[in-house]
Amino acid sequence: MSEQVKDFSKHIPLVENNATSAQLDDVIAAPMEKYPPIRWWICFAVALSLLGFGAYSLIRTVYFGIGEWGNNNPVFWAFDIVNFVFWIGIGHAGTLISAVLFLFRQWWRNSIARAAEAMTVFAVICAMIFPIIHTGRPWLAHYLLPYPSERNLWTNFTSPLEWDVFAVTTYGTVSFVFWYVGLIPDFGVMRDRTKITTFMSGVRKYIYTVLSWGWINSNRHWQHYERTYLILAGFATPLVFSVHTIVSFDFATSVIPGWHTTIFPPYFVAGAVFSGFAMVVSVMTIVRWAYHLEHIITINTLEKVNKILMATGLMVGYAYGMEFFIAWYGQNPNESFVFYNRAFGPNSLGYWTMVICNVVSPQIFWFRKARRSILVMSIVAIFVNIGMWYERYTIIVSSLSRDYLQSSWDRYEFSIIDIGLLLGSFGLFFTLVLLFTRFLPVVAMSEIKAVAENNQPTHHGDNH
Amino acid sequence: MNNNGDKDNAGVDTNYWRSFAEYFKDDSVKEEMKSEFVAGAADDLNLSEMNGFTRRHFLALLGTSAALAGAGCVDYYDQGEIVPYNKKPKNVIPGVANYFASTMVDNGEAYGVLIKSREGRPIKIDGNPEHPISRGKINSRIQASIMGLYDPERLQAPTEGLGGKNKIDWAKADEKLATAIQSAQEQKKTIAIVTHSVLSPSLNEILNDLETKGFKVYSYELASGQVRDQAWAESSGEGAYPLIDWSQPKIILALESDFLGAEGVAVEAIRGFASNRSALFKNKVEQFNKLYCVEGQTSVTGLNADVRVRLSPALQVDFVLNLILKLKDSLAFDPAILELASKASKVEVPENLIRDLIANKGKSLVYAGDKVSKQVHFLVNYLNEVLETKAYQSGSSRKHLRNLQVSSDFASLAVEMQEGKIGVVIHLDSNPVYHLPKDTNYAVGLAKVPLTVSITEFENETSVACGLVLPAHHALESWGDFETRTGLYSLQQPVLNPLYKTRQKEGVLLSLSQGVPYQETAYREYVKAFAQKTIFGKMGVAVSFDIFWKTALQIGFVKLNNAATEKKKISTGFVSEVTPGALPKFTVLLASSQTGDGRLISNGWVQEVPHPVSKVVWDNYAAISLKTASDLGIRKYVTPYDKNYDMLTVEVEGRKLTLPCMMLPGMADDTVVIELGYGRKNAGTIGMGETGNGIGVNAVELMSVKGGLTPWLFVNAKVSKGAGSYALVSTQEHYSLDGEITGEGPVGNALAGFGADKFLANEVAQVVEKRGIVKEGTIENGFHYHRHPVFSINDLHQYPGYKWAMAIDINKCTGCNDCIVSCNAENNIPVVGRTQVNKGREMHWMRIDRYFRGKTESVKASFQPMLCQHCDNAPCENVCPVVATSHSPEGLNDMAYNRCVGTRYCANNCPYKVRRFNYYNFRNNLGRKDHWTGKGYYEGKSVELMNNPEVTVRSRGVMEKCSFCVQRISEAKQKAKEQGRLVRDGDVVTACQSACPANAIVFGNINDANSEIRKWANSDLNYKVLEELNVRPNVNYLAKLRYEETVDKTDHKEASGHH
Repeated sequence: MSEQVKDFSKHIPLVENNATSAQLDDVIAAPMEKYPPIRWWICFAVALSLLGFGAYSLIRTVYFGIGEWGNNNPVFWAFDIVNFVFWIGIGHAGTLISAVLFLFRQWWRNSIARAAEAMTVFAVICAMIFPIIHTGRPWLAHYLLPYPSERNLWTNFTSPLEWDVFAVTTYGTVSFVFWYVGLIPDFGVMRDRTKITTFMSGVRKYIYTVLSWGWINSNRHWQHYERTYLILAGFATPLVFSVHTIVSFDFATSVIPGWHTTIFPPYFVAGAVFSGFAMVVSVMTIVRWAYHLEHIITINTLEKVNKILMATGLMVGYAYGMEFFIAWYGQNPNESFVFYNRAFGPNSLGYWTMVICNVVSPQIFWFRKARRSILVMSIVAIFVNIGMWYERYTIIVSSLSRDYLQSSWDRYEFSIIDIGLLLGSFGLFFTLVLLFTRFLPVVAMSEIKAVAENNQPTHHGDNH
Repeated sequence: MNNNGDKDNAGVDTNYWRSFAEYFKDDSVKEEMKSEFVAGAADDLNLSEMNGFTRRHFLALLGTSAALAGAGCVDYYDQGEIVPYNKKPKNVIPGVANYFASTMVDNGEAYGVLIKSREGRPIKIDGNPEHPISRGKINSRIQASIMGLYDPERLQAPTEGLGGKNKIDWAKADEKLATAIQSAQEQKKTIAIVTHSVLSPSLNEILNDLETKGFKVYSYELASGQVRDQAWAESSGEGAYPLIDWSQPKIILALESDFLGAEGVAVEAIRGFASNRSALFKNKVEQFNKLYCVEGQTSVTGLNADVRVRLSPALQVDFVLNLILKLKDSLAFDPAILELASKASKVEVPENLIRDLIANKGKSLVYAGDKVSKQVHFLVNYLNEVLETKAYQSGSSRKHLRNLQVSSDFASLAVEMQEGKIGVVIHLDSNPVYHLPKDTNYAVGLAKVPLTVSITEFENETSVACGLVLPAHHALESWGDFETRTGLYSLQQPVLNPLYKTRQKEGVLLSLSQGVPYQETAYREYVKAFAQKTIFGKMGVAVSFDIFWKTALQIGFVKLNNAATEKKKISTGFVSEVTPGALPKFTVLLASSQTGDGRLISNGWVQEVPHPVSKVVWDNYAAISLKTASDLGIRKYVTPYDKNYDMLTVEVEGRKLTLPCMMLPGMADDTVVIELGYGRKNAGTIGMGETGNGIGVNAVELMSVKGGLTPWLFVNAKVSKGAGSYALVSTQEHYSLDGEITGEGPVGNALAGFGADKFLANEVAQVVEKRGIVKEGTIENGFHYHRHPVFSINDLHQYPGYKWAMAIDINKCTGCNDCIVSCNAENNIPVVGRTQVNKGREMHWMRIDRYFRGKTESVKASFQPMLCQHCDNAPCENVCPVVATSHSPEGLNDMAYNRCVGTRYCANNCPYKVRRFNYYNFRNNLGRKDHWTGKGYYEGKSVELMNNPEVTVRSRGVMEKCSFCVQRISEAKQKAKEQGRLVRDGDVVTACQSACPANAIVFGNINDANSEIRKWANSDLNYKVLEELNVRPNVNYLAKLRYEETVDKTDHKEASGHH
């Protein structure tokens, strides 16, 4: 054993237990082919209840107005935009894993890419709700789209919010297409696996057939597929960096102290990857346990995710420190005050929650044992998600509540409807995740077979 | 080409012709050419000349019958049916406002007003520019009173029975009243009329007449200058205290007087006071006056003082005596007074005050407040005589048509009531049940009177205790005349037909006095006849009375020349009355409130205007000092997250009141100040507050017939911490006081033990200092402000035509709030209510930022009106994704409400935080009890008639903000265009500017080299708030100048704004 550890060139199997193709197909397809267990239903019920709470809050918001929230005069943005940035951040892991790691030939990504991409799509859906409903008159939200109007009205291309419209829709579209293209070979598998025994299984087969676009696993198909996938990966990669950069422009291009800083783009991207990976850990630890995928989503893979988590955590921590340094070094009284206020003002609890969760808690991953402990990584991942939510809260709320003129300073207190929308967005996310695990393969069957040792063509001609 | 020369072709150009007839100049064609349109197309419609039943005949009948059918449903009182604009009224042009001069009463003074009326409905009240008291400015209460006209809860028909249960018609009410009066007269019982100050000479005539018929008149005010007047009458033998020319004195010493705020005629005082505070350029700085305030409350006047001394109001006598003692070497005093002065307890008198008073003999004024004792007024009158003050106006003087009664008079009235000696009590728009001390037993007595009548606009505490309630006209529906000063006769005329079945209240008394049935026109004729008799006769002008009357109504007032009154000598006979005091443990002062005496408690605009000092809305409170708070064990810091103020129990001679207490900087220790005019019990939906328990607490509970030093000032009260706490709502947080920011957050609290609080307090104080939002200079050394040149690679945008800009002189601004209400009325700004203000969602486009500085005891303040700065590089504009806010070619930052989707990004990016978001449909949100199905108080009600039709009414989800009154700019431009000229300086007056009694605001085209705004913008004192952000705001501020000697170097390192 010790020799193995020392031999760093030693190949670590990405799929354990010497699983064969058929076994992999069986285990991955199992959740789609069996009636879901009771715990799935419990989870689904919880998620649907949260979604219902969110829907109720949304109805109230649209019916009565933004006054249902806690937002007020200096704090014009609060939970709405906090949630938006939070979910956009969550959506970063999927594309990073499936596109960036794909381009870098990090094949350990194959076991988690599908789920991460799905989470990206769902997170972007959650995120896109907020900019629409945060407007005072959401029924006019289409004004933000540059459509030809008989009134000759056009959008304002100097507004970062307008950039957001393009950044987020582009990101959402590309992520979805990328995800869908990756799904095509698996849809083929599912189509072939589905036997028509009942009416519903016929419907199922029909849907899989349509979605698989006539995939017949031919060499020619594979050739086109791999090319397309590579091109899409190339497309998606810059988006990983651009989307959160542009989201950060909402703040960085403003004149408000605490928002107006040049560090925001890299800081936001690092934070987004950080939170996205944390969400991947949270979901993956549950999925691998619930669907018995421990040998596919291996500890080794999760350890690598944790390393990224720690690295991005350090970047975020650096950004926190640097913000304070610049605030002091710049000697701009407004700027330095904002940071004093963040750390010691009325919102300081949120600030220190953020520091402890985001900077302190991932430090445990310096220890190999912690990196490989499901319990530790689950706790840290939840901490990081809490911390990253508070990061956006701190940036948005504490900066706005005390900006230039003391006369306008005011506190911010959220309302129950704010909570409803936050929980509702989680409800929506988990509802979609649960449906995803039920109807789509949570691990890319084709990709995982490509890295399963048992399935490689060998020059020995045997299964060594 | 015209070949037929024998035909007359004059007037017809035959180059082009339409018919042969035209070509050959047929006579019928010539006739036709005279009118522009063909026959029948434009002739006057004359039905009788039409033959048979033509198409036009049919249409005309159809239209008329439809109009009559619609209009017939609305039976305006005594006016028959009204057909809207079938024939256009002579003076009403749709879209063009009419202005009517009239007069409105507030707090015992009659102000000349100019009422703007659109299509027959009044929409705004401004000061009458010609009227000597108003001079175009009017206080916030009168500005807001227009809301009362349209209030849905105005009484609309007479009622009988306690609580106003049964609606009756006027005939029955008349009969009931007449029978009661007849039986009272037969039984030789007195008929009491209870009213506020009688300001109308014709009403006074009616009352005089009634007094010969068994009536007795009682008049009172909750708070007035009664004590000052009495003292003056006793020391000079003259009736009323002289009018003060506030622009005359260079040194003003105000003793517990809020003359710039809630007391007296603040509009006039502010105008005079501020006129001596203009310093555009260094060489004009000598004009600066100097205000010394000695007070126990923190009044808005005190915060405007150059030197402020904290002193218990009970020690004012001693202060004046000590002052006299200090002045005795330089000025000649009566030895008796000096002997008295030597007995006074020691009170610190500022050295500079003594120096300034000696140096400015004849240019100084000592003025004591309404609420201090008569002894202080005696001494002040004497001191002014010694100082040879010339601030007393010689021409005109205050005229009291009727002396006010005091509480004891009402106590004896109540006794008579209980003894059955009073047959009828008529309350003429007065509310004694609320206003009078409980121990007058007025309410108890009232129950014993056979018939009690209340003539009022709104239900109040007295009307619910009355058997007959007669609804009265609003001031805008009434006729009237007023004489509050000698030689000034102001006229009131209605600007619209009465909205409901109400009556002119004076007319009701007139009908009683003449013994004839009420007639709507009777009082008008009476006023007219009275004017003919008393004014027109005296003037001896060579025009007919009709012309005189019409002119007088048009101007709104008549001015008669007065012989200058000779100044009477002030006697020193009062010495025996004066007894120097000693510091009592607790002094309780019941102060006047800027919201008035409680009459306007249901007026949302008045209640939502922040208190000028504390910025509290919709409430009153007990103000105490920080030291007193800690002595009493009251929590000192109230954080924005926990605004619950501890309760305070105040007990004066057994009369107890428990109310929330607020720590105000600058309050004298062991002094409690409570504002009057709150805590109404029957005040309608709005006046009862969102809880339904009333707004604030009623400080009258502490008053008594006996009174204290004065009816409003008590010593040796028992004060203790009460049970529980209460959240006071303010628009500006308490922690604006420098360095008070620490200890509010959990982390700050935890670190406080390690000295972190001191470190942070220091940091924060420095930050606040360095921001330089309010920049200051000194009168001696001026204002030095180094503007750093801004380098830009872009050329600045050019504004070749008009470029609108504003300038505000912080030296003149007293923080009176009149601009806010004017802005509200002009721009249709909704009332959001206490809960929404608590959430921080007030909608005012304009606010007065108040910045305290210095130590909590010796606090100084600066008031800074803050509104949209209309930045050239507006940060709000570039962030709006839908271009709903953009720059006009004239430098205005415009809002397109239709386009706004409400992302609120603009408001986030506004460094001045002047944008306001409609979180709800605030127009219909106030008073909404049930969220889903309830209706707002104003929803679909008459209040909508009050809206200015020139300004869009904003719905929910839309951002709004100050527009620089763009509708007024457009109007001025249109007028200029009609006259073929450019807009001249002064053509555009914004609503805030028009209301500012201090004339602290100028507005105009800054491209005009000769404009006033250009002059102000080029001033040495000019600076812009947050100029360093390079947003290039278009609102200029003139830096506040302070006397060098008053600048505390320890708390104020960068007085001149160097950095």
